[in-house]
Amino acid sequence: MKQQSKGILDSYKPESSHYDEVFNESLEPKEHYQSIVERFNQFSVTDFERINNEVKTAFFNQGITFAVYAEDKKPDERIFPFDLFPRIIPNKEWMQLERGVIQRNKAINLFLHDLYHKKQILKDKVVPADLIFSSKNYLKEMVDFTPEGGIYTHISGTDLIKHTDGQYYILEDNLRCPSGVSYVLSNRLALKKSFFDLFTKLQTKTIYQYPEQLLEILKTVKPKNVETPTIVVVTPGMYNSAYFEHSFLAQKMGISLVEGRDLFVDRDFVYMKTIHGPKRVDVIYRRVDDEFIDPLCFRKDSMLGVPGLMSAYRAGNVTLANAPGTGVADDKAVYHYVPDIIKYYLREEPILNNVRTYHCENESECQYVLENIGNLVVKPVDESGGYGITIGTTLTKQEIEEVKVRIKSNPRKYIAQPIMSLSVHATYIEETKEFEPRHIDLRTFCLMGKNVEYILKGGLTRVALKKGNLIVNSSQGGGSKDTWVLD
Amino acid sequence: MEEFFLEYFIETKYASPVRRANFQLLVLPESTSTQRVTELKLQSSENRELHRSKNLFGFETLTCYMGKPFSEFWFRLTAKIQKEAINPFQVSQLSPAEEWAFLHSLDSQIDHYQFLQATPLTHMPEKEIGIFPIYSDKIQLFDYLTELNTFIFRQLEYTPESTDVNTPIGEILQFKRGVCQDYAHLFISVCRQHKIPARYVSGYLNQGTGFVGTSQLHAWVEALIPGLGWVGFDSTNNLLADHHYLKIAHGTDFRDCSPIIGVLESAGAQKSTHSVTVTNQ
Repeated sequence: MKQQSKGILDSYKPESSHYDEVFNESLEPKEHYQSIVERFNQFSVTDFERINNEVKTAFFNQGITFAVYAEDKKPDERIFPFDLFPRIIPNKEWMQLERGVIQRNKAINLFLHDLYHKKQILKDKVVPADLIFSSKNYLKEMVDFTPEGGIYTHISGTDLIKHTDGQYYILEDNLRCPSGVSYVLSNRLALKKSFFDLFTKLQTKTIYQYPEQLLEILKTVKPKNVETPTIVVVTPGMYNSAYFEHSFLAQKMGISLVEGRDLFVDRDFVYMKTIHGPKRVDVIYRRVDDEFIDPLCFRKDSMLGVPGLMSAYRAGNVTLANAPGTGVADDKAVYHYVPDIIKYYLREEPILNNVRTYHCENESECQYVLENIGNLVVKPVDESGGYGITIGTTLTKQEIEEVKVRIKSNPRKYIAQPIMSLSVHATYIEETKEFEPRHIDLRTFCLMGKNVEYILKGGLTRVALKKGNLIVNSSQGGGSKDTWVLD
Repeated sequence: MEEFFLEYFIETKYASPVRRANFQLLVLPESTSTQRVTELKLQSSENRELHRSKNLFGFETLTCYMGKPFSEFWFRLTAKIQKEAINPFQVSQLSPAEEWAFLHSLDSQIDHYQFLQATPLTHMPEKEIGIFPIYSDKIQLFDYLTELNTFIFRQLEYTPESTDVNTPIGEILQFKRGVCQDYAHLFISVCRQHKIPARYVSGYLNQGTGFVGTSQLHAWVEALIPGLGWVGFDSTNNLLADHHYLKIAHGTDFRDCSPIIGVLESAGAQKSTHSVTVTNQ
């Protein structure tokens, strides 16, 4: 590679109004970014373009794609855009994050167990009972049932952002079927191929153990009286937006990827059809939503589920990960109470901050929201993937009125938060062939088994590729970065 | 003590073969200290052995997986039941004000939340609430529920096949006709409006006494009376549930108590017949 007089990062113009992850105010790279900025500055634009294209081609050939749904249209298959400039988190900063995420998920597991048994936290008025009982994700089928090891959220994906004050804030807890980890592993592999020399220079914590750890975690919750459990991944099928991930994880764990129709339940045991006859299944990592997993129990029209699965589950003959009914705890209206939930069960101060949340269900808070929509983010409580979110500063007068009408017609459905200023990170923009600041967040991946937990060191840094855009979800045009935690 | 003999039979014929199916039957009479199953015989097509599982409320279901193609499915239950005579007219030791206070406590509302939430089948349209008797802290709860039982009995005209298992309350009140599950859903709906926990009960009713609802499974309601426990009310017959009522299960509404649910891989039409007989020996 030829040495260029001008590095590709020299033209970078930071935005003073946001927290810049890479550069300080005098445009010097922060200490933990120095080696990588130096390395990137050795590239000419042409060299960098070439590497970028190679990686894109590799992703396409590996099928690292996702589907975007639009009304009245066929799902659109796209490559998940990947930015070559990694996000770097110093170890000290990471340790704090890791402790905070584990603390949160431990408290949430105790909360779920309580909600489905004694409901003491409701009787003590720490969380309003109505909020729980009115949630469609609170399943009566889980009442008085204890999943193996008392674990509800075997896999959780806590989303965090860094605000202008340089502090991390929890954005949401994803406790149902959080996805994205396959991109983390693919991103790392791509960077290792392109910049292997950097990995020898910087001691980056490894992440390749994730599938192995997931398998270990699933083994810890095998049903009683099972020696060597048969574990499978259940996918809704190849048309699901995260199908790549389902097949990726099954392959890396060395276990079968099946659809509901490949399984059946007889006498409260689950079996997989194989060419050698039926084979008993003991643990299911299911990527099918609660309401579709068992047509005998939930939605009768579901073609994705296994009739009788819930009965086998309640009989203790199969473990489901995650447990059904965890969605009641990642409801955006429950989010507001998580700091209190941590204090209630663990008697500890929350390590990570929550974003101030206004409940439209509460009359005075609703009034505040209606009067300040222009400065708030309004979110429906039961949607995911960034759907239905409005950001006050981007709305026209007419749109503000429309949002007001929506809130008034169903206040329970909406919460509002101040517009958090997501930190920005230098990101390569193909149109301008330059690095520009773009907003990022971080999805962490935390695994919980019987008396054991594992957190992936780093996570998925999602980046909003559209200038000024704050929504980083892949379904809304976001991309991703590799995330390095330094040793 | 009285002894009853009962038989439940269902048969379904399919126009084209069913490739595979799971059936779940909720027809076994429950076993309690006052209701004992002394003899039980279960038979089904192709001599399929039926598996006993517990449902979400702890009641025994019979499940059956059919892995090979079939064109008909039948099932017969015959049982002998011993039933203790019970006096349904019980008196609460609590005053009306104490009963009211208990039902309005947060603890009661949390402990019995499942039987206090409106479901799609027990949702009362706002404009209809006014016509029903009103519960207050001045009236003994048992007396109120007895009054409500009679009121609902007079509201509807028992008309077989006038409704189906998915008919909502609004429609029942509009046409003022219904069958046992409609009376039950209506009773439950009014109770839950007044924070009185109420649950749907499915079971068998002794035919010898000539009540309505005897050629099929019957439905009634259990309401929670503080200090007394769950007491059964049958609005279809304007009666209290005594030893002639052989309970199978309870739930939040009919959907938790469906006698048979099947998930089938099939394309064609199907035709079902079923029968229930209960006799006092």
